[in-house]
Amino acid sequence: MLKNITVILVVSMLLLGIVGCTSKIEVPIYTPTDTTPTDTTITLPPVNPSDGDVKTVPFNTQSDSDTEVRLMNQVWVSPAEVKIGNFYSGARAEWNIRLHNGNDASPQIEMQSVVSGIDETSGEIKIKKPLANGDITGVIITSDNRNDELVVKSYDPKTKSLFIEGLLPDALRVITVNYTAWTEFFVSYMVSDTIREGCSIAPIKAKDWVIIEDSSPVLAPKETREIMIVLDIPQDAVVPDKTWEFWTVAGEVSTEAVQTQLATRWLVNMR
Amino acid sequence: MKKNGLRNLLATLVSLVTLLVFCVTPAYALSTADVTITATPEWLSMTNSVDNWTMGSVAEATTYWWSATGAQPASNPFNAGDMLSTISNLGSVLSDVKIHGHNFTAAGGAWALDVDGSPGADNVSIKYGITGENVTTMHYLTLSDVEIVDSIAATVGTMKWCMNLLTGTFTAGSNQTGVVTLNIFKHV
Repeated sequence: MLKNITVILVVSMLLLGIVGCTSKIEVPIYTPTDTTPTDTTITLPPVNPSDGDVKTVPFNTQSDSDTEVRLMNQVWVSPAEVKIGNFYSGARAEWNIRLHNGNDASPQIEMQSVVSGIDETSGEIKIKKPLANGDITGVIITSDNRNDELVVKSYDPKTKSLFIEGLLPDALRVITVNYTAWTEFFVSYMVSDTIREGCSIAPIKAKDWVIIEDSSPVLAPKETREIMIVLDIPQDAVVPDKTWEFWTVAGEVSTEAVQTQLATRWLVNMR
Repeated sequence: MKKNGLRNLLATLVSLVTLLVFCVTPAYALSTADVTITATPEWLSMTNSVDNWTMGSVAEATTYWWSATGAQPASNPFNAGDMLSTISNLGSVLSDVKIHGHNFTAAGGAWALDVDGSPGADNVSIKYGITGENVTTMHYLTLSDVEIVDSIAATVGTMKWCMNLLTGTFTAGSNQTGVVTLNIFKHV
């Protein structure tokens, strides 16, 4: 009898293991086409809820399509819509959106007053736009104070600051910086009240579940950058609606009065 | 007696294991449904032909136009020639465009966006309109996204538009910076 019970237990565990832990990843081959768009789907491996988060392999719709050739000199984002199905609390999904910079590099001339303190011969000056390729060799910096001997030593892309040396201590001057800039973009999370029929607006907490790999990318002229968007819902999170929608928006950082942004719709279907 | 007790214990164990199998299996079965991510290769791209509006010094309680002539269009309804800017959908999908405003920024006395057409101290209201509308059917710009274009065709649908700004009263003479945002997204 004891042997029989042991057999039952072993068989039960084996059954549990087979049913609960089979995993597969299917990544269909995508052939780009403009006229008949084809869905690209990845399937994530099933997960035992006790196993914790599941991480997908980022997958992208690489394309040399006619559309991308036509839009070479424009800013664009692809895809327009991403659908996540069979999602659940504790799961994690990753997808790369593609952001393209159709702009050329732009020459910049900026002037600013700089006061140096006693014994101060170096310091940082901020520029308004990202320095092309972070390359300081292309920066021309001049001062109206003849006693300055300015040299650019380094560039910090995070603060868009140039570190300069050669300032005359305890003096005032106007510094002119000539440089070439690339284009800075933003990528951010957004909730819209425009949703598909049957969908709900994203839960308030969803903004904490969406992780944007790089929210302020700087792109070279004509560069297309992949930016990973992660949906990571904690295991203990309560998602009130089965189907909901959030957006990610991308656009150029601009100082103009009218600004444009491109919104990718994300439709999430929970189990 | 001991033998019977052991049999009862074993029978209980068997029952428990069987119950466990039936209870637990459905939970694991749920996890076998795959998470899927699906996307269609589609591109979003738009331009707006005029993106600046420099007004210079402005007076209180006065309306300023962002239109082809810089004044209120004479035609009713507006025709395309009255409009200042053109929104173009360069992308590959039928799309909608939403618009929203922001409160102004300034060193002092920044203007807040008024949304009902009666701007008070340090308030302004902005209205927008498209070809085919007129002065009375223009819409107030708000801080929330509102649709300005429904179903603009891909490659290349266009729509022309204009704005006006009504000032309130001012408590400071600061330079004011305002932003209007256009947001394009796939039509559903």
